[in-house]
Amino acid sequence: MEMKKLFGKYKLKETLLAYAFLAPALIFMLIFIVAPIIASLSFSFTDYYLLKPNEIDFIGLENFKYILEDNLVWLSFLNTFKFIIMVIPLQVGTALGLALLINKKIKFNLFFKVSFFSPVVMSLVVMSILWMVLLNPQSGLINAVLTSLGFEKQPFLTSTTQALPTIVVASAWQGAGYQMMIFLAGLKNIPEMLYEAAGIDGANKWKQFLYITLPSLRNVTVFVMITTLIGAFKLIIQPMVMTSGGPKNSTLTIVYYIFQTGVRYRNVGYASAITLIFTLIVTVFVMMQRRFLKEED
Amino acid sequence: MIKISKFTKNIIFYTLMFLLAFLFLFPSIWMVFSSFKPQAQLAGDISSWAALLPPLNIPISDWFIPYKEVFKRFDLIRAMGNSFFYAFSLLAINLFVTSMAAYALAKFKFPLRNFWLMMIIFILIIPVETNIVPLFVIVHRLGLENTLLGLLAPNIANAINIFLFRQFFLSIPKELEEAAVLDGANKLMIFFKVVMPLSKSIYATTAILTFILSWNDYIWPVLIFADNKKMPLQVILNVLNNTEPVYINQVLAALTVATIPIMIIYAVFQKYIVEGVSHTGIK
Amino acid sequence: MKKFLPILLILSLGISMTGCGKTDNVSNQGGTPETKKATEAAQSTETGGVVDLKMWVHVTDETDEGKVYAERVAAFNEAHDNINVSVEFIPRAGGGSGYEDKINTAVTTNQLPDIITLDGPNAAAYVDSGIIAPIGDYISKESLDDYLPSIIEQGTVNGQLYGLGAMESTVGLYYNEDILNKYGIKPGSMDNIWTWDDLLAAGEKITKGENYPALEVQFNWTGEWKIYAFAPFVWSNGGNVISEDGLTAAGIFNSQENAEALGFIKKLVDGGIATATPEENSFHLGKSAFMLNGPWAMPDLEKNYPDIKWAVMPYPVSSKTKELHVPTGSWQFAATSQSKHVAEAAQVVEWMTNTESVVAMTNAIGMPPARKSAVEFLPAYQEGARKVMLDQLAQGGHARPVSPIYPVVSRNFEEAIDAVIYGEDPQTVLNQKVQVIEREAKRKK
Repeated sequence: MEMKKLFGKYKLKETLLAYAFLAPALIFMLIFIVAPIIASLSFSFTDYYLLKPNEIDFIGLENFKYILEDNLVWLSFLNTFKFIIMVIPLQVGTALGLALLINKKIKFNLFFKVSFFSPVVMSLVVMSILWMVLLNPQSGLINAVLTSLGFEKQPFLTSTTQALPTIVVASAWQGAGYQMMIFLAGLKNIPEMLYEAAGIDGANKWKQFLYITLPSLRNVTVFVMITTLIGAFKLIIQPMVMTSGGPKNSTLTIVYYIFQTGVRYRNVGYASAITLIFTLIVTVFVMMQRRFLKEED
Repeated sequence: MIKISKFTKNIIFYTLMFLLAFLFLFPSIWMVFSSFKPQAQLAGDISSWAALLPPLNIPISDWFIPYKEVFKRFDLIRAMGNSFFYAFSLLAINLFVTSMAAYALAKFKFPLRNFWLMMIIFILIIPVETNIVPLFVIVHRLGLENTLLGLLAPNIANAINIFLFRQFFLSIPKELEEAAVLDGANKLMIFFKVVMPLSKSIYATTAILTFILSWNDYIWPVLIFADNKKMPLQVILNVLNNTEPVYINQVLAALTVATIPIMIIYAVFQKYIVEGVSHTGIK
Repeated sequence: MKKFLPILLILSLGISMTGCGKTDNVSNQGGTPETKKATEAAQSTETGGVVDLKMWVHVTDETDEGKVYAERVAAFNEAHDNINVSVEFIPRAGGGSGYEDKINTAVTTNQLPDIITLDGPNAAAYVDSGIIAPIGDYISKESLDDYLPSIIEQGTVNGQLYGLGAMESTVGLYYNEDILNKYGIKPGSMDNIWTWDDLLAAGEKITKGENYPALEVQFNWTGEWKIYAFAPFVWSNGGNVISEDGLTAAGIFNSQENAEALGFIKKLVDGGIATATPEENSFHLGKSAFMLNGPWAMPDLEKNYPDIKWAVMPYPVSSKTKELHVPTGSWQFAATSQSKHVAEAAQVVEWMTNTESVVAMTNAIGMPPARKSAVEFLPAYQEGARKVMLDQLAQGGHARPVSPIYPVVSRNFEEAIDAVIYGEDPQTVLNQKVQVIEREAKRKK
């Protein structure tokens, strides 16, 4: 009865063909991605200790009770949100700004494009190590420049208040170039006519930007913001390499804490419980962006 | 308001632009130039502008000493060969598998389509790091340890590529395909004969992203392989960075070498990145 | 959509549970047919009376350490007709990841080799989980007596010996002779070990006179370093990090002795004698008079900074007890419980840490030798700074605590030190951290 209803809307031949197209991807995805995720989420109700895989006991909601008492869980969530709130405007804003600068017909265009894009080429690990050396409070180049300009030396990654913002800046610095390319593509797609018409109407550059450029870039901006959001949620490599989560846990992010709990403390069960909470929060964000994914049929 | 001449305006503008470019470039400059310096000079230069200059005081023939040393200590050539081999193997399978799936998700109507879509978005957001142990157990159960397939399997149907391909395919006008249908082509032929040739730019974009994904991976290869000879470059870089004595100039030399392939790929495919990305982003 | 979820759940559980739901086959040598197959594939096999043993080490064969392992294994195989050892060199990245991930997953899939290397503090957790087997019975008392006491202490859990190392490590107080002479300060020695007060007094004088932090100490290094390098302050003051069984912290971790020890660190920072963000190599460059560091700093000093006249005095002791406790710890070898040939594996462990191996290791990477008998073959360790390191190890070597929850203990010790460096009150901080450790311990009891 239900099957019939289900297929009523669809053509059988098309359905079969679609699944033939999907099959290889689905098989790999279900076995190597979905199954591990579900397995590890199901561990959240157990006391799975990494080195005792043969003594897994079901412990109900114990792990979740433990989360309530664990300050580091809440601190790391808070740090992650702080990071998201800072990095999205900075990175997306920088990317848009760079794209607008390059989109004009200026000399050395290619050189500027390559320069802005160059950090993207580095891997996150390489980028993190580089910034660590450059930001060394005593012997780093950045502080040398600051003192030569008459400013005071800054502690950067060694300060509880500056470490996270420093990671935000380094991350935005690295990621902006790629998103600049996306904005650039978006800008190229805005019909020149619109500006010409606006010019005739006497709108100045700022008004043109506000009423033509920005609305035309709306979809691109949403796309860029969502990809930044997803990346920001998963932040782990930069704090892992640059600060080990310190000083005083001020750069401990949620994924990093999950990683520490599961791998360093070997408490897979507990790590899975935190992952479950994390997943729930992320799902809320996914639901929020559903509108964006709905295509117009 | 004082009227500034166009010439002065230009000077100010380009000065600022070069400053901005410098802000993005200087770590790379530092990395490359420092890799030419002897250890002591590198450390001495770090707190001055000399850090951003090549070692002009030593003959150019000596600039590559750190490179020679590091290549003597570690078999970077073999590791790099491995990395290329793994990356291209992954590309070959991944692009085929993910684009087919994306095409179905974009152009066909069938039951559960939205469910699979949601699943893909969901996967996109869950970090791999949290599921590595069950993943290993599965790979082990399937007897794929120490095999190429075992290395590639978790990345073959990666969600981001399916997502990007689908976004692109959505932007291909229906009329094109309908025209092909009138010519008597079936859906399979349409995909290979019409859609694929139209989609070069998105294939280039995903190819680059996948290449980088494979190139930068390091935890999984260590788990899956027992043999040091099979390890890719990233693993060896990490070893190098953690093997006493750590010589920063040698590390930077290795990092420079590791970055060059990605740089070349970006340079060559630059045009396609913009094209491919424009469609995925704007839809 | 809803209908599909249960199917997925069952599918994935099915796969993962067959993977790790086997019942207690670590102790059960027979195991299920599948386990047996896996075990045979991964571990020792007997062919024609020769026992084949597998060994994993945490470095690659490109490193100096790896080369020594390869050579010593080859020598072992040469000397033993009935045993054949093969080594797999597994890369290790920062903080043990890579190699340790590999051990963890091998435990899950029953694929451990016969012999593994492990970092000192991991011994307790590995014993607690039944990963490594006791080897004390297979090694002669004479041989055991030759190891530094700290090596035996590090490898002993619940009174039984599990692991042995070929090298040691420690931290000494480096000093710049010229600067000390300038201020008329007489350095300490093994006969006259400096107390905290001595260091504070000298440090204050030099810091004031030279206008730089007199002591370079890596308060900015993260991870294992903090408990490794600074737990001896606590021990020297009569305190301890955790109880004997490793599961009680209340009243121990937050004892008054510990608060005093952390108070000493606070005094160093508050007085400007040391800083939370030390300048890299300031001692090497003559811009600090003292440095707390390990023997690994010596080759660099000797080779690249010939103008600095430096020497080493023992690690400073509590002014109250004057008892010497110094950092120790290194990687060690152990036989795994999954091995069918523990006796032979123990033989290999002893071989890899015998006098010849120890001498080869010290010559290759410069770390202090783990055996007393090795010293006569190592001229460098018979005098000067290296002798001080060795002497303080022999007299005051104190291994890090043995505890099944060691990683949590280590993390909280580190956090406590960090908090004190950043200005918080030692006793308050310790009282906070003790709760976290207790909560973790509760799960293991």
